[in-house]
Amino acid sequence: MTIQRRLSLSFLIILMLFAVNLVIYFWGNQRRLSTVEGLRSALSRQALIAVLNQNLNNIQKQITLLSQVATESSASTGADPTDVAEFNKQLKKVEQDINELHSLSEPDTKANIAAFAEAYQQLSTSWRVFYENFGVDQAKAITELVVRAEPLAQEVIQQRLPQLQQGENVRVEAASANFYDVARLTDRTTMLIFLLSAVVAFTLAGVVSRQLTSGLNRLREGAASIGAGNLEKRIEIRGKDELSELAGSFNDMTGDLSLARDQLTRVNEQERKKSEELEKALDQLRKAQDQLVVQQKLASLGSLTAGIAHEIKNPLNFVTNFAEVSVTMVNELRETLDEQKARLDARVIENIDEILVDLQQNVRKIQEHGKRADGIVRNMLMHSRGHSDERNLTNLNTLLAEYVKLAYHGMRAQNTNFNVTIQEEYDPSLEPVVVVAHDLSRVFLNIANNACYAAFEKKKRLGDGFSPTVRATTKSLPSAVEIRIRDNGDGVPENVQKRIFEPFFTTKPAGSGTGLGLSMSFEIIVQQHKGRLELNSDPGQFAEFIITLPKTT
Amino acid sequence: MHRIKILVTLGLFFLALGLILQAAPAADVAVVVHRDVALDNLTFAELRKILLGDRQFWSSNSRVTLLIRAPVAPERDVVIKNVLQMSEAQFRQYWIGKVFRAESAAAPKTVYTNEMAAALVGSIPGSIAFIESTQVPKGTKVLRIDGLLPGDKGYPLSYSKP
Repeated sequence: MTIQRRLSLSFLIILMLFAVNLVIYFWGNQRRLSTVEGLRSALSRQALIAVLNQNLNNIQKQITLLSQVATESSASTGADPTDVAEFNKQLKKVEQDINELHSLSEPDTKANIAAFAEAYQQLSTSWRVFYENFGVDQAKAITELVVRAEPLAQEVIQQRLPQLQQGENVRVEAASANFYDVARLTDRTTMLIFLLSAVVAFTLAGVVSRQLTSGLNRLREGAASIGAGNLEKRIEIRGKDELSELAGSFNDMTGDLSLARDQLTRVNEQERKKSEELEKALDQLRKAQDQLVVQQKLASLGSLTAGIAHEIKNPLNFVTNFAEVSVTMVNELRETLDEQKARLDARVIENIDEILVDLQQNVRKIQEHGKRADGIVRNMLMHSRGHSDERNLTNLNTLLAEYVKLAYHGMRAQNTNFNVTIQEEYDPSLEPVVVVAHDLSRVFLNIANNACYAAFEKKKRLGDGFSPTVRATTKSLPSAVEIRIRDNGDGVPENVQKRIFEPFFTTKPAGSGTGLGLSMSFEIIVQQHKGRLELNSDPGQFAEFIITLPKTT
Repeated sequence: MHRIKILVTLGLFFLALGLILQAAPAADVAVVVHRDVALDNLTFAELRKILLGDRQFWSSNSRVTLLIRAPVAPERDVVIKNVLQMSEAQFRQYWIGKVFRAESAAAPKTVYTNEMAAALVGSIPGSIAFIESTQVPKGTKVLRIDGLLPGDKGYPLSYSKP
């Protein structure tokens, strides 16, 4: 039912209740009026009887006193005609009152009143006789009074009138009781109907308002929930009224909003993914750009290094060769001196021996450092000239294990105190890969050497509480091979990480490294094998080089 | 001097009055009733009650009708003064009050003469009247007062004729 129809019906019901109350009011009023009429009539009769009583008593007193208060002698001429007329008027008035009483009386009391009227007629006649003869024929007057009037007065005033009065009193009481009964009945009926009407009206108002407020509350809660962003919320629809239609429209609107939000979310998600892809592409572009810059730098350095190395190598050959010749010549000189030892003074021979020993040591130092310089130059030339392209199917597990061990033993050969734990975990499923094994082994050796060095340096700094460890692993990926060499040394600071693949950049003490190992490794992995060489390091904790080689190069 | 004159005048007045009273003949007032009244004797107190209206019935059926002479009559004076010890004004006032208070439905009826009183006593049942004893008609019932009839020594309703 619609709200309009519900409200109209409620108004109609309340109007009907109002009409019922009005009818009850008029009915009660009519009932009360009828009883009031009865009561009024009874009261009128009662009042009339009281008046009669009063008038009769007055006349009787007048007569009584007149009979006693008399003139002093018989010479009196009796009552004045005016007094007689006045007396008769009083009697007439009483007679009229009795007639009025008769006309007002109920049918069942008319006979009594008629008898009363008849007795009064006799009494009034007797009183007239007394009055007319009083003072004129006093004996007759007294006789009339005593013999007739007083007994009649006794009958009329003391018997009949009290009977009538008593009867009317009873009627007045009955009419009064009836009036109050009817008043109570009508009052109670009016009150009952009013209370029933009030209950019905309140119930009706309560039901209608509850339905309205319930619907409005549902709408309010729904609006609040939707306002809070819960577009899945649907307002419960009850019945078929304007609020239900509004709730339906609200739900439709919420559904449309939800749909729009989903579409917006999808578009946002797509935009976000695109943005991420763009970010990734930009990152890759930046990396490629960095690599390109590094490669260009390396290329220019390579060509520069090749030129310098070539120029240095010839004089260096002279140095090493002549140093080697000098050693031979020192040996020959020593042999010659041994032949002439008998002719020479022992002290001179001793001095010459000491000088020869020093000379031999110097020459050997020159030869040794010359060879070292030659090695550096050769490496530089190798770096700049490129590498051999002899590619073979190689088992990388075996190659890595071999060169890690070589690095370890090389370090131990230089320093007997050197000791690190080597952990190896090679993927058995790794198939042999086509690589330039000779160059790749140099990469493994370089990185493993660095790892052993870093771990041992930390051990030297921290002492026995630290266990230096180098871990070498391989892993076969779907289209690539991943090789990791990790040490638990001090790692690589962030500012160093950017430059670590630059040629001649080294953090080792002077004389301990050339700064070409990682540069050369980067070139072998990236340029020669089209792979990736990455550093993952937590400064103070570890450093890990990750080599990724494509399985098909 | 003036006082002495007044005292002498008053003395002479009372002396003359005494002589007059001593010379006047005595008369009794008879209490007469209708012949159906069953009593022969009334006490002085009962007579007083009847005069005051305190007794209104002789018996259950017979109402007392009090007939009394009009004022100035010696019978009235004797009754009012000797029996009720009232003045005329007090007597009237008493009965007016009694009637107005509705304590009595009937008041004393005034008769002008002894003959009228005698006639009415004879005709009205239950009536009682006060008549000089010498004027009481024959056959009229006279009541004793405290056992005394008029003429008896000590009869309470006696007066001196002027």
